[in-house]
Amino acid sequence: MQPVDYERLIVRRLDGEISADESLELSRELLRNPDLRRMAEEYEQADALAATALRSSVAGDDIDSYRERIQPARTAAPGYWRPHRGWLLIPGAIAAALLALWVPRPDWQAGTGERGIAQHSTLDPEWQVPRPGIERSNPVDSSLMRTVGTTTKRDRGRELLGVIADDGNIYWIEVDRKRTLRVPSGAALRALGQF
Amino acid sequence: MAAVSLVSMTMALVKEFDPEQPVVEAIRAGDRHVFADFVRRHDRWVRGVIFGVLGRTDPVDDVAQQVWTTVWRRLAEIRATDRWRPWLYALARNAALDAGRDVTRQRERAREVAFGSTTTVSRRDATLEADESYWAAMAAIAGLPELYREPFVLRHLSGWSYQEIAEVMGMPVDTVETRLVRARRLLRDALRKEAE
Repeated sequence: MQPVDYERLIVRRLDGEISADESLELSRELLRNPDLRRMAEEYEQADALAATALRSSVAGDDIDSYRERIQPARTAAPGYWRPHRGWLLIPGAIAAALLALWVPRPDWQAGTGERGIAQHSTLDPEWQVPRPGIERSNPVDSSLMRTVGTTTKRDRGRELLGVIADDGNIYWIEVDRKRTLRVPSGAALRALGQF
Repeated sequence: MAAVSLVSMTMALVKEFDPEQPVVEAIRAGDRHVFADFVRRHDRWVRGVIFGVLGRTDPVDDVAQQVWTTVWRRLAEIRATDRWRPWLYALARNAALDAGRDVTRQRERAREVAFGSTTTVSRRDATLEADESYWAAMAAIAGLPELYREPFVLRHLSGWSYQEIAEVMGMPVDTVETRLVRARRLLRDALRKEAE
């Protein structure tokens, strides 16, 4: 009998190519073997990082939307006991619904009425007046301001692919492309004397 | 028993049916709108192939543009329309190889340090970024041998199964799997080294 190649099984699990038996075998070994567990974690982290980087720089995807997509799959994959936890939420949800029906609603839920209007009237009246004209700041400066404390900036645009047809005309195809641009941090800009 | 064979026959038929085949036929007939949709659906993995070959991101846009232009011109030449995917893969790969040769010549002349260099990423650029892990990941992927980088990028950008990658690259499924395992190992080692 050949020894099981657990590294291969880890990669298969990452790629969604693992069978149920193999997954069970791998889970058992992961519980027993801390070195293997570390390897699995490292592979998973490296994989997620590489996927995000690739999708953002080569495919032009929005990083956040990608993360949202992969998050459920990543959390559900390891540990065969996890799916059972969902059942624990059902009694809690029923209890919360009953409680919501039983407890009398406070006034703020009414939404409209004099009280609501009175609350709004305490706001600064200037806020309710539309501002004359459109204030525009320098786009370069504002983008620099936004980089302080954050390093990513999303840019949605369209790319044109030109195709030369048999009749000699050029046809343009619009392809939506979202990019996540990475810009220098505020500290780095200050060091360069640009901010 | 009969039911089992019927199910297996149906599954085989479903597996064989390629929804893109009528699309390819329509493009061959000159339907521009269908072609535009086709480009949107497959642009990602075509770009993945180009990056997989070159290990650089900067020429990807230009080469992808060139590939799609060629597809529009030459799709009518395909005899077996069910083999459009390997055909497109080969087209993208060859375009990337040609571009790689041009880029190498240019690089030898200019000696410029660019992001997509196959083995190094400018540390100055990296230190400018708070999110260094991104650069580390891109450098690690770019540093993978092409042999491993190509299936790895295809897997991550297209989400194809081992079987699909094997079909397109024209190699056994086991080979694809082995290359993906080695790619992961090299990537992990490179990122670990970067972190130290």
